[in-house]
Amino acid sequence: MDFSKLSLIEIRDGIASGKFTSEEVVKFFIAQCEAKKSLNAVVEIFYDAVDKAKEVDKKIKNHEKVGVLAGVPIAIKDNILYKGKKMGCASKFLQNFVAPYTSTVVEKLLSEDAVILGRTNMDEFAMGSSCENTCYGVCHNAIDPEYVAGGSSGGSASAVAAGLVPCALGTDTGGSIRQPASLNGVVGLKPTYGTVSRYGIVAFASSLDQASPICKTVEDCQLVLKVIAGKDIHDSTTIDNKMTSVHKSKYTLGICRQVMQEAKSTQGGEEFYKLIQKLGDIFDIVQVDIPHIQNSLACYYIIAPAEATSNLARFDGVKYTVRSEGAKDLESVYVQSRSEGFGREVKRRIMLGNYVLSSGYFDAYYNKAKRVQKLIKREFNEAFSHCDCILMPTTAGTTFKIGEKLSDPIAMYKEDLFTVPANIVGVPAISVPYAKIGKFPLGAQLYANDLNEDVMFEVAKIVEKVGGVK
Amino acid sequence: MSELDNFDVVIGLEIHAELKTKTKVFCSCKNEFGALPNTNTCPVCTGMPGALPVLNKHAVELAIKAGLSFGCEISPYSVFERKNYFYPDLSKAYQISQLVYPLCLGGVITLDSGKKVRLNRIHLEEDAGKLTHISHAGGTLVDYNRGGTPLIEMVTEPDISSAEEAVEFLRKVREALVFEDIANCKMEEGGMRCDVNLSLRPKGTTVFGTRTEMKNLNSFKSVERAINFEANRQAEVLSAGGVIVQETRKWDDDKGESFAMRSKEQAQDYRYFPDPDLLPIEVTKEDVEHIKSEMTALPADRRARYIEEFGLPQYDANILTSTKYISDYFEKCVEFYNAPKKISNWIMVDLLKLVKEQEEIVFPISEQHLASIVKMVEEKVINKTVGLQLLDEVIKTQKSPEVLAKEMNLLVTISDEQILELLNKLKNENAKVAADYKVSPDKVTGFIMGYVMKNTGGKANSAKVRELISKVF
Amino acid sequence: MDTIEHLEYLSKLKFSDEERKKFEKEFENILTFVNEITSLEIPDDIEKDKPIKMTELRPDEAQPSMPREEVLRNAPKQKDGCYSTPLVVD
Repeated sequence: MDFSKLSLIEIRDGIASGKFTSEEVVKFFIAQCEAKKSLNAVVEIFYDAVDKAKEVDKKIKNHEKVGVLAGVPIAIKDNILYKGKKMGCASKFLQNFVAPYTSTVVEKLLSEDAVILGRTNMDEFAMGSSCENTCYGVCHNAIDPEYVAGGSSGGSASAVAAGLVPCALGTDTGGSIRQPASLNGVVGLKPTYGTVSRYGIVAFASSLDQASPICKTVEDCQLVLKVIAGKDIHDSTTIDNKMTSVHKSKYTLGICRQVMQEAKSTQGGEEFYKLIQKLGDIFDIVQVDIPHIQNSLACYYIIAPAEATSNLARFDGVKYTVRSEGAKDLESVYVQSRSEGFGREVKRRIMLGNYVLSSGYFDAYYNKAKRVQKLIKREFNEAFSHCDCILMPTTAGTTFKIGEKLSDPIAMYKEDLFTVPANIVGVPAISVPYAKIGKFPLGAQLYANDLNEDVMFEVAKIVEKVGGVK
Repeated sequence: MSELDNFDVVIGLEIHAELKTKTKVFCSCKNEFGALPNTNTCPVCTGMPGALPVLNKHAVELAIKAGLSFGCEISPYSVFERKNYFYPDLSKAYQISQLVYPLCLGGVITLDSGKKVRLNRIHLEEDAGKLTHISHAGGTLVDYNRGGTPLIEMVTEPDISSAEEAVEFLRKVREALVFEDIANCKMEEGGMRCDVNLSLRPKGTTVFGTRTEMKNLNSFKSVERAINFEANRQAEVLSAGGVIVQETRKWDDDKGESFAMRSKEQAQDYRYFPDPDLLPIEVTKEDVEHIKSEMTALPADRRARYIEEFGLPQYDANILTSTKYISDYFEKCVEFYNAPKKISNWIMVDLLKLVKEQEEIVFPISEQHLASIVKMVEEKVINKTVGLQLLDEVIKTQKSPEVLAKEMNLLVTISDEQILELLNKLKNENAKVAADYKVSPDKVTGFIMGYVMKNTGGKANSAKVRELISKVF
Repeated sequence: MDTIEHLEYLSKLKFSDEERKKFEKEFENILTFVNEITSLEIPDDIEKDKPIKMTELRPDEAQPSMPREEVLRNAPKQKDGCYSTPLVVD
């Protein structure tokens, strides 16, 4: 049976009803990963997944109570810790690292009897939008290997799109889930900041990071989010997001004037206009203003590097990263190990972060960005008083060729133009495939206000249906 | 006349004290001194990837208590920030500390002279790990047991003007922190540390000179010596027309001098910014009231009360308020038996010598039992020598003094009738005594007393015997 | 550019001359791009971050620590139950 055509929920139900076993499913996906190794999407298969699958099958056979993800294989991004398994953030600096403890998200998946299948490729330390900055080699787009998978959770998106796994966790700091989901034609989610615990996930920018699923359908993402969400005693920034919302017969969709101005000249602009027109029959559509939304990207490229530079300082060749062979004194343990261990993009952001934090620049950059961030949040609140969700493109266009933007950091940074605002203001967002240009898919995003995930899912399911790409 | 006589010394102190919590400030590992290396550690305090800090409530409470002890204003909103620098004792390569919004602001400590030393702030932060340098093996070993244990940092205004004042200030700080059970302040274990900022200015002027910072001061004595050394050093430089370089100096207690640390240390830019892993803390008026209600009167207040209400000498009052435990113990004894000076004598003379070897004083007898013994002695039910004997037995057996006294037959149980009988017997048998008594009672009272004691095994109440003698004879 | 060298110092990174040149160029572009916010006017009534209440803080109760082998498992060098570095001189 070709399980790659099924959604996570279909697989889950099939296992639960005894139509097929978790073992069959897991072995199938392992075979898929092996067959499509050249994609470079899954960097390690956890072969003990088969044993876990057998355990779940046994439970089901014995009519024991099982979790809502019983027997379903899920892959995790290479920055999520699972005790006893290697975890490398796609960095050669962490090539020998074995997780000494398990992240809260993986604990939660396991407690619902999910089976962790392996780890997926990413941009080093989640910095990048193409999954080209990786020690495992470029991850390829699921539709065409000449093209990028997007990033940083490129491996997770490509793996789901290519049928290597029905669901993979990624992390999203500025669009790292939604952008590759869009480029690979799958659904990618970022919940309200604080919904999912960050404990056991290597931090990039702590105030922006959220882990979340990439799946084939909105419904799958919704299910997995409910499993991994929750207040965590190990993460002070988590909240109790009950995601309760009032169901309406007709929702109001906001279209942001400032986003449209940017979007109209993009490759995907025309398709996006068509989508709005189609949706006009189903939703009330209103224009909203978020005057400073375009400043989100600048805020992001100040706040994220600032936090990252501090978060990545612990990788110093003393405690768990590779120590430079040539290091003879403490200073060279630090400098040589870090210079050899980190890749270009990571170094660029560490330097940028130190610049915006350093004395004399702190107020002009970091403090200013934090204030602009609050201003944009205020504008979003105002916008959400007029609509249930805001619709916008996920990316300016479809995927691009490997190497195309590698030498132009700014062009690469602009990949996140439409995704970054959700992280800057903390609201939930989801990318849903809705069109294709040639063979390449294109995603649209829905933003909802804080804690309004369920409204967002309702609307996203309709967009998913209207788009018809699924 | 030294060069220093032309200058005023301007001193500010930065004091670190380790808080007495059960666990570390951002993780649930034990806050404990002397464990095997890296056995009180976890992903959080070793800075593993993905680990996150979770703030210990009690650490915040203790820091607020410290603030309340010194009259600080408690901030309703305070923020943790990251202080970024690389050093092997700092597992995350940043220390979580407070900069812009500390927990406590202001405050003042009054010296015996009446001079007020203002505090700038008290903030909460985490301690670093311990490094052991092994020169012959060419290596440094890193132990994170102490990493992440809670510290308060107290920063004074530059109000201190001599080594003596600095030491008196430190003593007062230590006394208050120990008294409220906020910190142990054992300088030899690094439980209390002090950095000194010192500058000079020509007498009668008001503009501050360039200051130096001295680190590694591990005892009150070294604080005193380091201040005197540095003040004289600066005076000599300035008097010779030189300038003071703003630098960090390390005190070498063996050599009795300080030396400048490498210049690289001084170009630090810590790039503080709010820690995104921790939320700002809200402290409400109710929180502060609640914490205040757990605090007892401060040592100075208690001392004043002991002198005024109980009529104790200053000396007694000082010793009894040296720790909260002793002071509480004393007050409880007085509740059981209201004879403050007598209780004080017993504590100071007889109890303290029993525990002088102990690291943390705990008296081996309950307040109630001690009060009972003191009462028996004062009411002459037993004499002091027997009282001490009884004290030993109570400590040994933990039985109540009353029960023991009976068991050991220590009590004065001779009745008036028995005494009268003896006296009458003597009067009848020995007419000479009766006759002598009439002539000169003082001369024979001793003899009669001796007779009674001899025949009662010494247990007769001597005052009673005296009274009955005058009746019978 | 002195700044780049200072940033290398703060970052504990060392670039080759060639890398530094390339980085310098990129860095200027990035700064030009983020500079757009420096001139923005922000209202005075911007709110502070939402705080945590004292009642929500962690109670002071010890939990078992991690076994030392686990703690040190990824250390590039260890000795006598400690992480080990070249001799630190201060």
